[in-house]
Amino acid sequence: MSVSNQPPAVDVPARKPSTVPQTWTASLLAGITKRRVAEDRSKPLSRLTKAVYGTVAIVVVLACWQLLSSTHSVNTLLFSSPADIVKAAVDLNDSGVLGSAVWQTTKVFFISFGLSLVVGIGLGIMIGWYRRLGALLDPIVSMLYAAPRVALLPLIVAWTGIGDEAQIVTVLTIAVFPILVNVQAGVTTVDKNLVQVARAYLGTNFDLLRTIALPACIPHLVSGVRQGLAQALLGVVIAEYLIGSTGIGGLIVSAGQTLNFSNAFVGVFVVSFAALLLTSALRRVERRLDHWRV
Amino acid sequence: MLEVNHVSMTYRRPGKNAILTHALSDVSLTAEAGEFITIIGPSGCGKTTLLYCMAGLNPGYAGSISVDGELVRGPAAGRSIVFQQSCLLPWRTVTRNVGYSLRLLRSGTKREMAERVQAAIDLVGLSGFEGYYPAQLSGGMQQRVNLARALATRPQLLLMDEPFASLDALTKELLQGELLRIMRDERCTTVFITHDIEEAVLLGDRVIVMSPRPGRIVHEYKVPFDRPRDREIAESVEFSDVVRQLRAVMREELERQPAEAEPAGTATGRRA
Repeated sequence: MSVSNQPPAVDVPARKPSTVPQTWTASLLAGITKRRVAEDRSKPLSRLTKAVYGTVAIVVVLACWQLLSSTHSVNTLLFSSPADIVKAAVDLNDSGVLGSAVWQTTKVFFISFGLSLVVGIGLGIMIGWYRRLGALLDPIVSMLYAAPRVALLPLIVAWTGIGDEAQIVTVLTIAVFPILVNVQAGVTTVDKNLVQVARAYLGTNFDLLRTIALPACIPHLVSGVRQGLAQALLGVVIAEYLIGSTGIGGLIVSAGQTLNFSNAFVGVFVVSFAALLLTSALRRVERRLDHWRV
Repeated sequence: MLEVNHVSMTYRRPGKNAILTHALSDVSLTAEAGEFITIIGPSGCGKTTLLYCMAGLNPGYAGSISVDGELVRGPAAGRSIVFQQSCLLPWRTVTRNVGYSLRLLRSGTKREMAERVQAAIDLVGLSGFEGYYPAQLSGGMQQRVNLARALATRPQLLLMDEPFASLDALTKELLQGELLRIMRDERCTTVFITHDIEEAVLLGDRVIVMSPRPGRIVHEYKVPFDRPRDREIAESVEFSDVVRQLRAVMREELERQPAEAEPAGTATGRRA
């Protein structure tokens, strides 16, 4: 063994590109062990690339599902299949059930999410800006935020009766907090240097709020709204499960009770699709509001 | 005309072990109308504190400061600051950042404001960049916006807090030249804080030297160069002589009074 003749192991593949590997296994090994400089991660993948990859993943999953169902490798009664789900969706649509369920859920969702936005943003600005008001209300807000608000459901039903109102109030109690807390945090943290600028030019408290605190709050607002949106969707389905079995939530529950899992999957897909649409719409709004971030 | 009479300032640093910091000690100075004074001193000597006192942003001082006979009690129109960091609103374009001071002061109609904003933008050489956001501008250009925002108000007293300290050497020289050009037309009383001796001599009619903390005025020097000036004077032998003299004064001051030692307890102790 002539140890002294061997060059340092790490440098061999990189420094000697001219050495021809004898076999394909050797060339494969050389390809794997070759020392590569890390790629530049500063550029995000293009939107097209992402869309292609995402679509491929969905198609592959659906295809596998269909394959497993068609070959009866899984119990089609329990797991349904993409084809059956499409068929169920068409049937539900033709009978008008799907349309009215979607309309009902959309109505409850937008009313309650809209209320959450108004209350969350309004109250968030108030308690973020008026620090004494914040000190006053902070413990209550934290307590309510920490509490599982679904636990309030029996009370809400007792107060408002079984109906849209109970669902709306339920969703409001769930979705309002992420919005409120984020807006509050955003308004509270104002850049001290910018405050000095405003003060130097005799800016009033309201000027400060309008020209510095609110614009600076926008990223916080957007992340609050994103969280609130997810919570509101969750809340609306849960409220429909538990109060009156209406809308898409009701559709899923009754389909489950009658073991019609294709119908249940239709409901699930409608909700997921709505969630995707809403988040991408929100991202669009965000890009609009944040154009100065270059 | 600016008059600073026996101004002292002590403030309590926030935090658990509150330490009284003696920032300024019996500072008196005057600046004639239209005079450009530069205040120079080592870092942490209270220069910025003094400037903020003049601006009215630092109300807790002892002594008196008056501008044109009027006592400084708070911020007022007619006094503008060029901040050390550019302090621009990142969500506003150049135009709207320059106009920010005017909007807050609510001076004049929208049209008058727009005209003055445009004039200030042209004056600092930012024409063509009106629609840019701060993040799209270089550090030097951001400071031009900072300066334009202050000039747009047509101040009687312009307070500049080391505005070129964070710029690279070449940009700094460029902006010093620009400032000399701008000051040819805008004859407002100016107080310019710096820790750069060449800069102090180049820009100032008078250089005021402050000691390390607590800041006192230890030396005043009348700069022998006439206005209008340009950067060329910095090449002259006379200029180098003045700078050398001031440097000697400052070094002597630094050696005589070693910077205040950090009191025990604040520095991270050896708790191994």
